[in-house]
Amino acid sequence: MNDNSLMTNSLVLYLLGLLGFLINRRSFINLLLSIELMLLATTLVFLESSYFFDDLIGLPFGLFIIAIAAAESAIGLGVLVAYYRLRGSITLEQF
Amino acid sequence: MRLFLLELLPFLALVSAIFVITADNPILGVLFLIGVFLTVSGYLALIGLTFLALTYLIIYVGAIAILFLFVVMMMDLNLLDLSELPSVSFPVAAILASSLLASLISLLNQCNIPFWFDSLNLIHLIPSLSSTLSWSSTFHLIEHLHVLGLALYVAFPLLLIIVGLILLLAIIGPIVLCL
Amino acid sequence: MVILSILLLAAALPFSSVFYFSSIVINRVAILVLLLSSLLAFNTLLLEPLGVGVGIYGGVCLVSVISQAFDCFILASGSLLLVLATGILPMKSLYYWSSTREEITHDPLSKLIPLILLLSTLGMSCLVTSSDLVTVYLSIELQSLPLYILACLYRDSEPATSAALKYFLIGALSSCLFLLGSSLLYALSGLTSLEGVYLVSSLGVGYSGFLIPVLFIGLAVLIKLPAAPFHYWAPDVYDGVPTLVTSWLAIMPKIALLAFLLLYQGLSQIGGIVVTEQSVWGFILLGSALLSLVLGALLGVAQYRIKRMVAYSTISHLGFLLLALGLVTPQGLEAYLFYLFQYVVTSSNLFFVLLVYSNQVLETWGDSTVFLEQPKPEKDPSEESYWLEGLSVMRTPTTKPLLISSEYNRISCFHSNPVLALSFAICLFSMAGIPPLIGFFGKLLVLTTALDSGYYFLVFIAILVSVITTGFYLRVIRVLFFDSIHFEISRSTEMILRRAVLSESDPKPLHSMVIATLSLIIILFLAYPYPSLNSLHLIALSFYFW
Repeated sequence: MNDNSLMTNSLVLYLLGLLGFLINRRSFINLLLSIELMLLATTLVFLESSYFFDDLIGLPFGLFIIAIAAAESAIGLGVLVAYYRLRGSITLEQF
Repeated sequence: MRLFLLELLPFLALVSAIFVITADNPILGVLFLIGVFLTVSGYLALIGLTFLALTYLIIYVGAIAILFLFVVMMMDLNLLDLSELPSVSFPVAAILASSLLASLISLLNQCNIPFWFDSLNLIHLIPSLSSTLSWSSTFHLIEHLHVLGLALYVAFPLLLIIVGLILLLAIIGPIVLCL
Repeated sequence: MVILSILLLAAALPFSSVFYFSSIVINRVAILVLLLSSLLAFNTLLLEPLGVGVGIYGGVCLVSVISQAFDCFILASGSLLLVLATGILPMKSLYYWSSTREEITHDPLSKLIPLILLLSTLGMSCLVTSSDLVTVYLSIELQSLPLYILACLYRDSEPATSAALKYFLIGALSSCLFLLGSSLLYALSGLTSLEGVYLVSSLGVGYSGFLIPVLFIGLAVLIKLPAAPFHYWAPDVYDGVPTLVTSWLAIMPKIALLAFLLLYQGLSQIGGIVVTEQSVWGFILLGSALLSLVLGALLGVAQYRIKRMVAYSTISHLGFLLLALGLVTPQGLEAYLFYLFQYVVTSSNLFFVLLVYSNQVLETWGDSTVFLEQPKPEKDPSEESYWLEGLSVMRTPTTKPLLISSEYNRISCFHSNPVLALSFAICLFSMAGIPPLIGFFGKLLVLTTALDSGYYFLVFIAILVSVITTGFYLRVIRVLFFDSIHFEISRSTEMILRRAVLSESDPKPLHSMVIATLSLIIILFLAYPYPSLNSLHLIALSFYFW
């Protein structure tokens, strides 16, 4: 099994997330989705490398990242709802 | 078959990730994100990390994506508003991303990943490394879930507490913000 | 550390369930807890084995003298800044001017502020002791997630929410960058403990692949501090959120992240790092220092709102700090610690004064709303701005009133409260680096050590920049003391404002005590500098030579 190709896959996933974050001018939701993609990609890197190393540290780290991704998206959506309530839209024109 | 799936699933994940970041409609974006998570968890289950695959399914697909969907549907978005795309920064982002990608791939190709585990006898020099190695040799008969639980509750209790606090915060936060 | 976290936990958790205490009581309890744990950290400073550093919790944390010192410092300044929150008026009283004391003390949101701040402080104190990438990531998250909530706490004001949104996006992006760096580091080395990584890279496998992940992690931290190339979010965010939150955002995460940068670099020192890596990272630090100095000063000149100005001056102070950090010598470290100390003292004093001023304006508004000529209909809470004959005094009624720097003209501040204006001026002078004050010594130390290390160009730029920043501090002082009123405020309103300020808007006793103490520290540092300088010297030496 060529592990480099798998790692490259998840890095490409990360870069897609980053790209989505940078080029996105439409709505805040898409930015949050891109952040989720990036978190997913880094988790994948951790899990794969811990799998290939037969090492234990990566797995708890991946689990922690999953938990924190949940927390972060919850808080981000909370901020977003507060923002939406005032403005009535979530476009990024104001930035 | 398994190898074929191992090749296919990351590819599908990448394709649906592309759809995530190019989708005009946030709902479609969330749905494609669910697709990414599904393929990734299938992939993880194939390489043997079954517990984490299930966690992905439950937490991401079951909780986060549904949360996103709720929020998206709660705000009655004007889709016409969102459809125009002033992609001014697209070339910049493309250049940045491609250069970053090239450097990262070169970085990965530069080394064979387990590069010193055989060649150098570093195990005695690095305390944490030696401890993890002895762990994996000790526990290799035990199940995945068991090992993970041991790691969480025995090795990293402090981190578990911190994560618990962060989750507490994630409960308080939306209550405060959206009450 | 154990005791600290348990104490903080035990203090933090009941807050969420206890809702029948008044917010002031909870706030005081939180302050006491922070002070107590700071004392504990100070006690453990004296333990002998801490010199070399003790790994606890299975090696995910590393307690050493410098981390304990930072811990103590963070907790103490956290308790100091919590004092600010005692005087804060909750949201409701900002909508309805007639709110009674009952409502103020029973506002659930103001009760949550201490809890959120305690959690954030816990994250910071974990961050300075952490020695493992997992711990670092988790504690960065723990210290920044409360800040997103905090920035959005006044959820009915438009600038605050949009600033919170921006802050959240930048924070999430930088933590993703951090994760990318750490995951690559793990993929390359199979290690997450910082010390292990540095040990491996120093063994001279001839391996330079660690460079990129290490740079990613460093860049992520530089984004979170608003250091120069990535500073664009800072003025908007600092300006948008309420002043109370600004004070917290501008001071606390900075201490923790700077401490982490120091440890991050320090571990590289211990490992005797690969040459290229060290030089690249040092180059980035110095370049970022240069950019922050220049941009902070130049853009700060053009600002009219005082909080934006403070944000830019913060960036230029960060330039000094990064400069001191970039010279990797014990003297540089000492200068760094001292500069950090004086920066925290001075800027917390500054924020105290600003908050007292805004409270004054608020209270005068409370008095004079009856006499407003054309208020926007009904003081709708979501109303964007109040208009006093075309002059927007407060951008929003729901945030703390944001002072516009030229707005000091309205009530010539010196005459209304001379001592307060004087301490404000002292603060600004100290930030500008006028000789007898504490800020001068900070800049002096940084610049002399930089000269010793031979960075002539950087020192030249830094001196130029500090002259420029003096310019914009002096502008505020001119407005404060000498400007007469040149807005067309109707005579009656002005009289009301003046009367109200003169008669009854004294700062709260606790606030005035803190302001007095901090100003005295700033002035009288010259008289008795030895204890602090010596202790910082010892800490710096212990970091390098133990």
